[in-house]
Parts: sequence; structure tokens; C-alpha cells
Amino acid sequence: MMMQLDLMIVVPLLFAVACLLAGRVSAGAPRWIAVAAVALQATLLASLAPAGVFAGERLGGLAPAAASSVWGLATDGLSTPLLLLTLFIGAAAMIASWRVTERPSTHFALLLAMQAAVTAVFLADSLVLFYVAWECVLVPMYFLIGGWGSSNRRHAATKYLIYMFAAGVFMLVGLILAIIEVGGVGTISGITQSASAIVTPAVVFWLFMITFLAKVPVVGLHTWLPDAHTEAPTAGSILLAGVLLKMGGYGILRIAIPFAPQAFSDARMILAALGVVGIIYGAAMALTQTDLKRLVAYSSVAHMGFVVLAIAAATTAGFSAALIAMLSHGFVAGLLFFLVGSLYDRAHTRELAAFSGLGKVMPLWSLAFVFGSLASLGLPGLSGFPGEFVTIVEAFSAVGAWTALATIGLVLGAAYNLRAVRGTAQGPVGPLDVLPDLGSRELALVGAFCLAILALGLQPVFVARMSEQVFGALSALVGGV
Amino acid sequence: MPSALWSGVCEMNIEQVLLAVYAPMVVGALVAFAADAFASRRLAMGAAALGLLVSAAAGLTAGILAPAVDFARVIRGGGPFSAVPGVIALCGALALLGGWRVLSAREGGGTTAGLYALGAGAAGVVAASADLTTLLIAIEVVALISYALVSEGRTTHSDEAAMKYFVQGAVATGFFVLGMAVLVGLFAPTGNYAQLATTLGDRMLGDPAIVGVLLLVAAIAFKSGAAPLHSWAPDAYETAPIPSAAFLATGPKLGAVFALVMFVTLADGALKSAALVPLLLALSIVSVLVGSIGALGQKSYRRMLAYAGIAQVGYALLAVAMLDPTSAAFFMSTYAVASAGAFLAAASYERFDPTWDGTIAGLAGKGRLAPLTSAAVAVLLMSLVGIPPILGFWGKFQVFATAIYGSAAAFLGGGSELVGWLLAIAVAIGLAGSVISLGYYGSVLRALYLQTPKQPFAAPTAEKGRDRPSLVLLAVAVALLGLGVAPAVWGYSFLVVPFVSR
Repeated sequence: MMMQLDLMIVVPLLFAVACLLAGRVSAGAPRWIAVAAVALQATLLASLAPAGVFAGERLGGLAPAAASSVWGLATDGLSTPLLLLTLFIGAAAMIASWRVTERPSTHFALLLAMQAAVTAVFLADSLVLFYVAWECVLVPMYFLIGGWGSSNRRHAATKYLIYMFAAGVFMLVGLILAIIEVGGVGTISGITQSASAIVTPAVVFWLFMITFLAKVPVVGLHTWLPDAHTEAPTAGSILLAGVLLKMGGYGILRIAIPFAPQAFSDARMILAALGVVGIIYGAAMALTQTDLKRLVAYSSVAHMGFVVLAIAAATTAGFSAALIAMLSHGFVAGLLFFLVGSLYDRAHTRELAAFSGLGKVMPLWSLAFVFGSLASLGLPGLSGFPGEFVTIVEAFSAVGAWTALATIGLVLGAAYNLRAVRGTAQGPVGPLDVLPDLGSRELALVGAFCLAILALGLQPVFVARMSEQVFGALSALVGGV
Repeated sequence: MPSALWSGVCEMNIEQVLLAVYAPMVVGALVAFAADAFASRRLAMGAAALGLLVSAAAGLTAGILAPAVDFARVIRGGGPFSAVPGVIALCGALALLGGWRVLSAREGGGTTAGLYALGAGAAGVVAASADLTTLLIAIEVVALISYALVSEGRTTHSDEAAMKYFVQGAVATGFFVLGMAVLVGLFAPTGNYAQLATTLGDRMLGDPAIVGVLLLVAAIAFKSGAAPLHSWAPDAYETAPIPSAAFLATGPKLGAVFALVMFVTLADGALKSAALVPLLLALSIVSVLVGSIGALGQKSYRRMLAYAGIAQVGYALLAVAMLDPTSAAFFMSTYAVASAGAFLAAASYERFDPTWDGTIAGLAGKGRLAPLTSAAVAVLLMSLVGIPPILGFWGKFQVFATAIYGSAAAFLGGGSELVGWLLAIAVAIGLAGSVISLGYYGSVLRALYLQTPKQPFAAPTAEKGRDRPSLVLLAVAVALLGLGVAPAVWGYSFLVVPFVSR
């Protein structure tokens, strides 16, 4: 019974209200409140270290007050790494929007509301709470994109909201069916235990999967992503790519597979194909973009394709690779979106053609961008490598040799990342020849991102060990292929 | 002391329960009529408001504490039969208090307030009646009051709407009387529900009694504003004075839907599974489609809300078709309260900006100019869409869970496959309708928050341009949010407690 987990959701909400009130007194206060909320969240999680939270122990939240209560929290080796990512990316989003001048109190309150909702998604053990939290993420993001985004923000925000709400409806039907079929059990762990009672596992599985795959997203359900990522303000893009996409992968691992392991086994080939197509399509599309932010957005489709492919491998190592790839993409895309955002703030354009020779104009920015691009293309030693490498190895042996087609995506990945680097950092100095380099606040954030990328790249085993137990059980469930 | 009060309420007999629920609003109405004629308008409005509030409190309290009982075989009280009239009275109170400024500026505003109180009482009887004659009389009283309230718009447009409403309403009454004549004349000795239940209990398909039942269902569905008998609603709600629209679109609608579900639960056997349930599901599908597509094309804020209301009845009809009064009453209550607030918001915006033409586009940028009002409206509209964790979500959740359960039971439990498929289709269309509702309710959010006004807004003056949301609007928004979060602690079954028949 760990009250800290419950507080991790309540704290950002309370601080969000404080942000709104403080904004009336001082324009600078909300950002400090926002960062303090995330710091408090982190402290709460850290206080669970003696109970073994970082060793992958399963810990529950407060016991529900009533039998039909829709509250119920738990964390384990799958949730904890993603919670850590949420804390990191949440703080990064707040620091990235430090200089927001337009209605800062509302902006930070929305960020905190989203922080609470995402935390609740990763912590929820009650299935209804999971859905509620899942949908709660949409509203702050809608207002963030719509209120602080760039030129085409209205269209992107509306599209995002309707697309995601429509996708979520499938999960709603799925969860009602699941709860009915197991006889009224409402917790994710409870349904997992009595999953054999689900009479129509394939129906339940695909209802959940449509929602999750749209969030990931896979090709075909991805059309919301380029617009939303590109039009969102920097903090919004960081959050979207950094944590919101991970909700999809988390949902598959936490709910779809455990509820219907057989249906998952039957669907593995489809998922693998979706993953491979996503890897190639995302990379190819990224290669053809002229807008730097859109390029990074399409690279998300490719990276998340690796996550789907790793899940389809259905081995313990494959599941771990999916988790590591998710974390890595969170850090790398977060860093790249931050860098593109800070470049846009200075140059007021994102067109690749407008830039040249930034290596001489903004050496620190360029260094960071090269670092992020190298991580994105999967350089060994950086975080992009272990997840995607293991994915290809596991998929090759567990799914089939044809998944080696994903390596085409790796080649294209090198191409679009190097093209972005060449287009910005390298070459002769262009017309944009006086741009201020990264400031100390930006530098600190970039440094933190780079450290995280290095740490995950060198010590992925830390995450693998944390999640070993969960994924071991999961792969045993689907037949231990 | 509280426990003494508690047991005192628990031990109230049915006469006392009925008196506590209906007397305050009826007395309030009578005082209002008298005071408007002989004393002041504000006194009249105050009396009606007080009566409605007391009735609302009494109704909800009795709904939670008192068991459902028949009185003289004409009306029921306790349980949902008190809670639903309570919510209807609440809608009346919201319309009156939220529209206080509008009504107190109008000649005859006190009488209008009295009509809300009387109308809420009659709509409460519609929901609670246990006899077809009671139902008919109550429905006609509500209808007469509705025609009067719509025509009070005092424009040619509102006269036309009232006339259209009246003529169509007369046809519906005809259906009702005809259906009653078939049932009472040919089959049951009286229109009492208990007797009807035994008479209709086990009818075969093709039995002539079905004609009577279908006529009555059509007549009551008309009153609830379900498609395809809906064409009066958008005109009526658009042209009536705003507070009257807020009342008419909510309270009487809730009463009619509850009356419908109580009537259809009388049937059993083949009549139920082969005729009534498919018919109700068809009505649900048509209502959701007509309402959603209609709302999507509207430029006027209130007309959009009116069409949206048709779709909302469509969702409620899913619960009606499942013969589930609890879900139907709970869902319609969440709709009624949120929708009353959404209509009243139009008055706030009119006051804020007298040049507002009533269109959704005309609300552009108001989110920033009138932040409190707009925040409240955003909560209400998101509740109507069914976005968690706002109360409206739990209403929709309840309805869809019931329908999905029914569908799964039909397929897995060996029920009628036709019903199973129809239910699955109706659920799919209902959910699609929910997504579409994000399009039309969302268009208001989009205008409020994402768009900038076409012309720069003049500096605020004492009269206009100040963000002064009505307290009613804020209270409704806070209540919807609070009750929506509450299931985290107490579970969602506690939300439906007043509507459970014990």
C-alpha cells in the first residue's frame, strides 16, 4: 500500500491549480511551480526505492475505498521505466517552454494536467481508470496545440482530438466487453489472471489494438501524427513524441497481450508486417521532407515501427527491446524536437533549405544536433542502438527472415539523419549567419538529454533487468517462443 | 439530529413523499402567477425558484432514501420516481436562476417562471405516472405549457415554431388517444400499468394489442424529441427565450424518456423481443444519425444544441431498448443538467456581447475575452460529448455498457441473434455519433479558444464586455466536474443510486 503512487497523480493536479492562481500574481511563478511539481513527483517515486521500485518490484497504491471504485494503482518493471521517462520528458517540456510569454499560467497548468494524466495511464491498475486517464491526455494536448502551436494549429489540434477520440472508442467497447466477460472484475491485473474467461479474445484484442496502434502509430493509422507533431509548440512535440506515443506500446504490453495471449500469437505476423512497413515508410517519408520538424516527426513513425516489430517477436528479449526502443525514442525525439524548436525560435523557419553552415554559426547547437542524429540513426554506444539491434535479431529468429527488410529502414535512417545534419550543421555559412547559440538553460537541458541517451546506450541492461520479471511472465504467457 | 432526520425521511409514507416533491413547485407556481399579476415580478420569480429548488432537493433525497411505491395506482413515488421529478425540478430551477436577468427584464417574466414550476411538476408526473390516463393528462399539461413558452419569443419566427409544435403535438396526442383506446378499449379494463402488464404480459407477435403499444410508443417518443418525430425541436429551442429553451430541452425531455422506458417495460415475451426492442433500436439509430448529421451542419449555437439533443435522446433510447430505467434516467439526467447550462450560456454571451448574432462563429475568441464563462461552457460541452472524467462520461459509459452487455448476452447467452446484431449496430452508430459530437460541440470549443474574433472587440463597459458568468453556469460546471471525479473514490455505482428502483 504505497500512498506515494496516488500522490504522484494528485500532486501535478494540485500544482496545476496553483499555476493558474499564481499566474495572476507573477508571470514567472507558474514555470517554477510546474518544475517543482515534477521534482516532487520524482521525489515520491524515489522514496519507493527501499521498497524495490527500481529493481522492478510490483508495488500497489492505496486500496480502493469502495468495491466498485474506479481507482487502483500499481507499478512494476514495465511501468517504472516509463514513469521515469515521463518525469524526464515532463521536466524537459517545462524547461523547454521556459520563455513562453503567451498566457504562461494556462500553458504550464495544461502541461501539469497532462503530466498527471500520463502518470495515471502508466500507473493505473483499474481498467476504467486507465481509459479515463488515456482520454484525459487528449484535452490538454488539444489546447496546447491549438493555443500555442504554429500556423496550421487549429486544423492540427482538431484533427488530433477527433482522431484520437475516435480511436479511443474502440478501447471503450473492448474494456466493457472484457469486464463483462470475466464477470465484473475491473482491474487490469485481475482480468489478466482470469483472462481465460474471456470468451471472445480476438474481438477484445483487436478492439484494444486499434486504439493502441493508432497511438503508436502504425502506418495507416498514422496520419494524425505529422500534423500534430509539426504544429504543436516545442513542449507539445516533446511530450507527444517523448511519452504519448509510448502509451500505445505500453497498452499493448500491459493490456492487449495479457488479456488475449492466443489472439496476440495469431496476430504476430500482421504486427510484424505493420512494424516493418512502418520502419521503411517512416524513414522514406523522413527522407523526402523539406521541413526539419516534419522530418523528425516522420522519423517517429520509423522508430515506433521498431517497437511494434520487437513486440511481435514475443520473446523476453524482444519485449525488453521494445521497452528500450521506446525509452530511447523518448529521449532522442525529445532532444531533436527541442533543438528544432530552439532553432525555429531564432530563425523563424524550419525549412531545411534555409539553413547552411550552422556549425560555424551555432557550434553548440550543431554539436547537439549531430549527437541526436547519430543516436537516431542507431550509432552503437548511444541509446538508439541496443533496442533496434536486438529487435532485428529477435524478429529475424522468432518471426522470420523476411523481417530483415527492416534493415532497409536502418539504411534510410542513416540517410535522412545525415541529410538533416548536412543540411543544417555543415556546408558554407548561409544567409542566416548571426543566430545566438544555445543559452545556459538550453545547454543544461541538452546536456541532460545527451547523458540519458549515453546512459541508456551504454547500460541498457539496467532497464532490461528491471523489466525482466514482467517480460519473462509475458513471454511465457504467449508460449515462450 | 442527522440520524433522526434520516430515519424520519426513511419512514415517510408515500403521500408525504409525493407531497414533498410536488407541492413546493406547484405552490411556487401558483404564488408566482398571483404575485406577477398583483405584486412584483421578482417576488413571483423568487417564489417559483424556491419551489423548484425545494422540490429538487426533496425529489433527490426521496430518490435515495424512499423505496418506490404506487399511490392509488395512478402515480408512483420514491426511488427513481422521485429522483427523476427532482432532476426535472432542478432543470427548471437552473433555467429560472440562470435566466434570471433575461426573465426579470421581460413583461410577464414572473408568469413564465411560474410556468417553469408548473411544467416541471407536470413533467415529473409524466415520469412518475402509473396509469395511461395520468400520463396523458400530464403530457398534455406539459405540451400546453411548452407551446406557451415557445410562442413567448414574440417574433414571427417563434410564432411559427410554436404553431408547428402545436400541430405536430396534436397529431401525437391523437396517436396517444388512439393507442390508449385500442389497449384500454379492447384488452385491459383500465389504463393502470399493473393491469396493462398482466394484459400485455405474453402477447404473440401479430396480436392486435401491438397496434396500441406502437401508437403509444410513437406518441411518447415524439414528446422526447426522438427522430423521425423531431422536426419541431430545433425551431422551438432556437426561437424560444433562452431560459425557456434551457428548460424545455431538458426537463420535459427527461420526463418523456423515463415515461417511455417505464411504459415499454410493461411488455414481455414476443411483443417485447420481436417488436418493441427492434423498434426502439431503430428509433435510437435514426435519432443518433439525424441529430448528429443535423447538428454538424448548424451555424446557430442553439440550433446546434437542439439537434445534438436529438442525438442524445438516441443514446438514451439504447438504454430504453434494454429496458433499463436506471441507465436511461441517469444518462438523461447528466444530459439535462449539462444541456440546460449550455443553453443558458447563450444568455451569458448575449449579455457579454449584445452584438453576438447567436452563431457559433460569432463566439470566436470569446474564450480569451470571457475566460470564466467559456471555461464553464467547455466543461459542459465536454460533458455532453462524454469526455472523462466529467459526469457526462459516466452517463454514456452506463448506457453503452448496458447495450454492449445486452448484445454480448444475445450472442453468447443464446438470445435473439437479430436483437444482438441490431444492438451491435446501434452501439456502433451511437459510438460513431459520440465521435461526431466532438465535431459539433468541438466547433464551439474551437471558436472559443482557437480562433480570434473577426473584428477587434471594443473596450469593456459597465454594461457589456465584462466576463460575468452566471453563478448557475459555474455551479453546474463545478458539479459536473466534481461528480465526474467522485467515482475514483466511491465507484460509479454511487452515481446511479437515486435512480435505482428498490
